[in-house]
Amino acid sequence: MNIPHLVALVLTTFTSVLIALKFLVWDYRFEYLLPERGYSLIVNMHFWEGEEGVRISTWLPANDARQLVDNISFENMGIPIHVEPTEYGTRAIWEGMPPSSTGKIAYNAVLRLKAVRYVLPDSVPITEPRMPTLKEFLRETPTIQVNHPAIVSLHDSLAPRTNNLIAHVKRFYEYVASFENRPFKGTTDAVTAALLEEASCNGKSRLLVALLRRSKIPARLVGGIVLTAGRKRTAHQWVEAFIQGVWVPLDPTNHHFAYLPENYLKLYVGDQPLFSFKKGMGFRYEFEIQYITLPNRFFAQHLTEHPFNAYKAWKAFQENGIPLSLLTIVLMLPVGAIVISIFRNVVGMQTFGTFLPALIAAASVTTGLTYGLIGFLTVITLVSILYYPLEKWHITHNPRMSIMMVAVVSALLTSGWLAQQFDISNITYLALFPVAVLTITAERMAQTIMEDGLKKALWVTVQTAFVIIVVYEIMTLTSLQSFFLAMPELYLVLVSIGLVLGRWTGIRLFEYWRFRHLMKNL
Amino acid sequence: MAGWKAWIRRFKRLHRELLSINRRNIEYVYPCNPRQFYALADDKVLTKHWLKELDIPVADTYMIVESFADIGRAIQKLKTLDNAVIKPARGRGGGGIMLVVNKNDTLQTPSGKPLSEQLIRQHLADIIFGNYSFGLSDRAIIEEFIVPHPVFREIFPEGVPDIRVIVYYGTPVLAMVRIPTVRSGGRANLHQGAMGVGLDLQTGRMLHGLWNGNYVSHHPDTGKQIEGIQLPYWNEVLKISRNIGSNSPLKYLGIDIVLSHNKPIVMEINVRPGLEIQNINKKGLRALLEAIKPVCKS
Repeated sequence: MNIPHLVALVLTTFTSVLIALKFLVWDYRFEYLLPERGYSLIVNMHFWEGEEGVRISTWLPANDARQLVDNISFENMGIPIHVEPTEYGTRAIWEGMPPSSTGKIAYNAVLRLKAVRYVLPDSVPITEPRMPTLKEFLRETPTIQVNHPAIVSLHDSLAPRTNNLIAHVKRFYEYVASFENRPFKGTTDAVTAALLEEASCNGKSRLLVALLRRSKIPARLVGGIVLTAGRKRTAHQWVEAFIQGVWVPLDPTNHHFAYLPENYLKLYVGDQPLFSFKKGMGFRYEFEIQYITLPNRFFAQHLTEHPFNAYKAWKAFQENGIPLSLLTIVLMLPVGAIVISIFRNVVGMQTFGTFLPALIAAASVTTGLTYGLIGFLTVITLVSILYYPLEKWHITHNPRMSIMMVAVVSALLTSGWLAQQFDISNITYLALFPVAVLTITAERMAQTIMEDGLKKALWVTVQTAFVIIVVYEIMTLTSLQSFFLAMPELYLVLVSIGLVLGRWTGIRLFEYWRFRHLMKNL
Repeated sequence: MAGWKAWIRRFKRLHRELLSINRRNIEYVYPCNPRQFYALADDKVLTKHWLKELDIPVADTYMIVESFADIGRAIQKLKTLDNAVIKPARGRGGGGIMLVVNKNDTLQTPSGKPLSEQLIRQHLADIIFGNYSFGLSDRAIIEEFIVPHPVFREIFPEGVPDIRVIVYYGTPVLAMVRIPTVRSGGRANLHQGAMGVGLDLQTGRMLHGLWNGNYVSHHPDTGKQIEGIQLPYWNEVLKISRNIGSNSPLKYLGIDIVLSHNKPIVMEINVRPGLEIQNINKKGLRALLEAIKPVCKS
């Protein structure tokens, strides 16, 4: 065994021991490291005929005991937005003159949700609510007609002959839940639902609220979205009843009693629309929902108490305003570099630059892989074209590189301008691309075209793009990121891999192809 | 179609005999060629100086252009010569080479295109600025224009074919000739489409060519036979290769030799010689190198 292999063995052993200590002695837990599932919700609000100004309002997701908004970002098209917390929810209002009469505003929320089940006591007496604020939730409204003869007679025929609140809630819930679900458009009031004995979510919910209120149990409508991956236009409404100081969810449409599934996003309470907009303007909305993986939220809290993790270092960085997402991706760069070394030394692929694919992948984390790749390819192609006149006019190396760098920066600025014109905010992040690296890559590409031909240059480009994709997927694996944050000693394993790889004398995969003539003729 | 057993045999044989890129770097280039001596191969001014001391023929140097101040003198010098080659001392892959022919006191290319003084000045400046040597400042060499031996003129009339000999601890191991083609634009560079021709190391006879992924017995453009053609001065070539190999601190080398009408001339020494020579000769280098000496120890 030679020295590099011995060093690699020692480092790997040391790492294993440290990891074993962490889990066995220092109480690291696997479940704190694994990522959580989350949702990305994009709410697109299209408008038209907004010549006289627009006014659009909606309810934004807010934090509560079971839902956490990790991040929310807006596309406002320059229309002033006003966000205010109210007793019904967080209201966002866009009001002003848009740059054009037709357009789209949107918000994107990253959410973590939790299912919650309420354990109800067997018996609770119905009492007159003492809190004056609860009076509102007993009142009759034009669509929740508590005192309408139809509701009164239905209530009286259903209501159990007892003062047990739980019995009332159960009885009314079961009755309304037994209705056929109908995809009615628009508003269905309580009386209509009672008479038809079928309704959509809002009709069934209003009827349940009316029956509960009739029994002097405070109840209210709740509005939100059931998150399932894909695009959709349906929002959802359910009910909350006030039981012993707690608002308990009841969904007669999807049959959830005192239970809210994980994918229910609550946006507001009360009998109101999710969206409202100024009379005369056109309006249409759409939800785009995706499942995403997010770092474990208990991770930070639990890890800071334990020795040897990168979280402590991050605390120091954080004071200087460096976000965790940036730190994470920087920490993943060496992982990307090792993966590239494997592609180059074991597979035998050729890439423009050794670390370039890792840097492009890191920059693509903010732009998204598609825009990252398109941006990278466009910039280096355009700039490499510039190489030819510079070469022809015998512009020497250093000035030539600085001129090409100007071109790279201009291309990035242009992409920002285009992004604004076509409303693709993702592209603006292209400005984060490593400018110097792109310049050098463009030069390499031009030289490869000149010395080895266009075919060869295209082939290397294809390989580079492939490596970028793989490296991106690996660097953005949330679980891998968590492992490196929790166990930075894993870097020693990277060093070991590097040492073994660097002494590996085997035949690269592509060499079997290159020496196929030799293989046939040996 | 050979059976799978035959393929497994070939596969195993490839593993025993092929010198892969990783193995070349780790077992030969790094341990056999100490980095402090790279300059001996990478800088042609130093290479020529050293080879001259060993009494090995190199192209006559007319002038070394060290700085811009020398450019004027260089032009004057060119006017006094019949022909010359301008090349960067640290160029790679044949980049930055300019051939100058003096016909009736006007400087031109071998094909007769006029070369203005301004253009030559510019080229010399480009070399000194390091345009052909990865941005490092460099020197330009003005040297003898070598006319290849008629045996090559017969096969393909353009360019200068060169012989590559792999030498390990003073022993020639494998050799090939690179012959320009139309596709390579007269350059003897395999990447650019020159034909590689395997050589019988003992006799200096040409075996077969490898061009465009196929083994051929004739030149692809002229149709002239190459198989069986005897290279002149072959014993000299071997002697020179052994001489360089045994006197050099670099122990794993690729030596590039051009044959003029009366002698072999060493053009270049390479510390990281390419591996394509194995395809061209249908022979794996690993087995040949290990037969000479077990792996260098670092």
